[in-house]
Amino acid sequence: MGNVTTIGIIGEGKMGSDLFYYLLPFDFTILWLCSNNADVTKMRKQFYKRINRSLKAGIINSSRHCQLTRTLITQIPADLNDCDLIIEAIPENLEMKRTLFTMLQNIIQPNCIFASNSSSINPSELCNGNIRNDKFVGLHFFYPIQLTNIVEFIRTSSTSDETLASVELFLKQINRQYLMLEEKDSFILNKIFLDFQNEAYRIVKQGSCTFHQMDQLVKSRFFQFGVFDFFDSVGIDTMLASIINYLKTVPDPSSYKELISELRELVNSGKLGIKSKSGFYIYPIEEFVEDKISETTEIYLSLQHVFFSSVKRYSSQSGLSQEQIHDALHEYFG
Amino acid sequence: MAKITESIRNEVREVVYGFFAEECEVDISRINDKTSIIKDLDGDSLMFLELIEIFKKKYDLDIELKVIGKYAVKHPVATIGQLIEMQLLIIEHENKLLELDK
Repeated sequence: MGNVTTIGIIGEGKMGSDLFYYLLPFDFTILWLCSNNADVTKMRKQFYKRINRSLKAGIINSSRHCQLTRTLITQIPADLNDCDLIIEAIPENLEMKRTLFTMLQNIIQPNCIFASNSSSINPSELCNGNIRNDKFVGLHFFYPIQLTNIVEFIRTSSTSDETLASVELFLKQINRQYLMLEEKDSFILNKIFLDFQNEAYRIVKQGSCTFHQMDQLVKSRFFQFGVFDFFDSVGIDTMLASIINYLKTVPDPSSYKELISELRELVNSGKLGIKSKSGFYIYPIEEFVEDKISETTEIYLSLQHVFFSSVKRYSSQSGLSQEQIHDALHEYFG
Repeated sequence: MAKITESIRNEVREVVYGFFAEECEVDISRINDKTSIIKDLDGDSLMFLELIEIFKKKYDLDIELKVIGKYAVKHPVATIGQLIEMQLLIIEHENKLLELDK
């Protein structure tokens, strides 16, 4: 089993950035690969501001500060050559990710483990034809990492025991709880939530309540955020792409047809959620003047039934206990 | 648990203003308690996490980030003034922050 000492992070979006800063205080050498020179400059500038603030506040000492100033933030993939583990967090696009890993396999040392932070694409789809299939895993961290202590650790049928052991050790070193999943059970937390989202959508479309009333109910009885708030916050296009990927491994893909159709219509009309100022809601959100739903019990029971049935089904399918799944959901959703 | 004095309040305000001025590259004179973190400063709602690390060190706080995360979801912060008030509550109540909602 090889110990991970040098880690490459790829991607300068929210998740790549969050991963970089989360891993920084641990005892690894971290390298950060950005997609272009402008982003390298921007990320370096932010990084130096941050470590200078940490020094000023006494969070790190001058020796650690000096060490951190040597952190490499680069746009040259070959700079990651000596990494033991590379985690990609680039946009959720199969072809982009495949191209990236194909390029990496030719320049990175052969023992390096490749991990994808994808939230919907299985690792075996990314290592298609790659000579180091035994070194591919999925490591799905949730945003923000500091506040959600759970990682979906996905193995392919070709992932070697040595790779699994190294990644397990790495996750323990960085104090992350994880669910180890086979690809048929990948992204289990989002799939359970998808069943819940689907039921919430069905109830709204039946005319029992509005999107906002449903979100209010969900926030008061189930999670810290509403179903449709969540769609808008993540981005309707991103959610749609993920759901389409999940259809490959969910038990009954046809049951999501109406929800998918609604998401497609929103995307086609440019309503992508908060980022486009319109999705299920219009932003900034105005005060809602509608009444609270008078009869919530039936809606609550229906949502609860779907949620628990989904947990039960995925528990039996994956071999994880219902308690393990509930604990992981609690970390994810609060 | 620290009692919030005028001096602590001023110190927290000074650190928060300085942090956002530097991070968002705006003149500190443009920041006041009503400044919106997202609309006016193009900031991120999670910037407060780094600030918490600074205050944890400064005031030797016993507080888990998860506790703050839970509190922040129920009490979203939009302005600099609201963020300062939240930081003061964190300093005052530390890990007992969530008990304020009971």
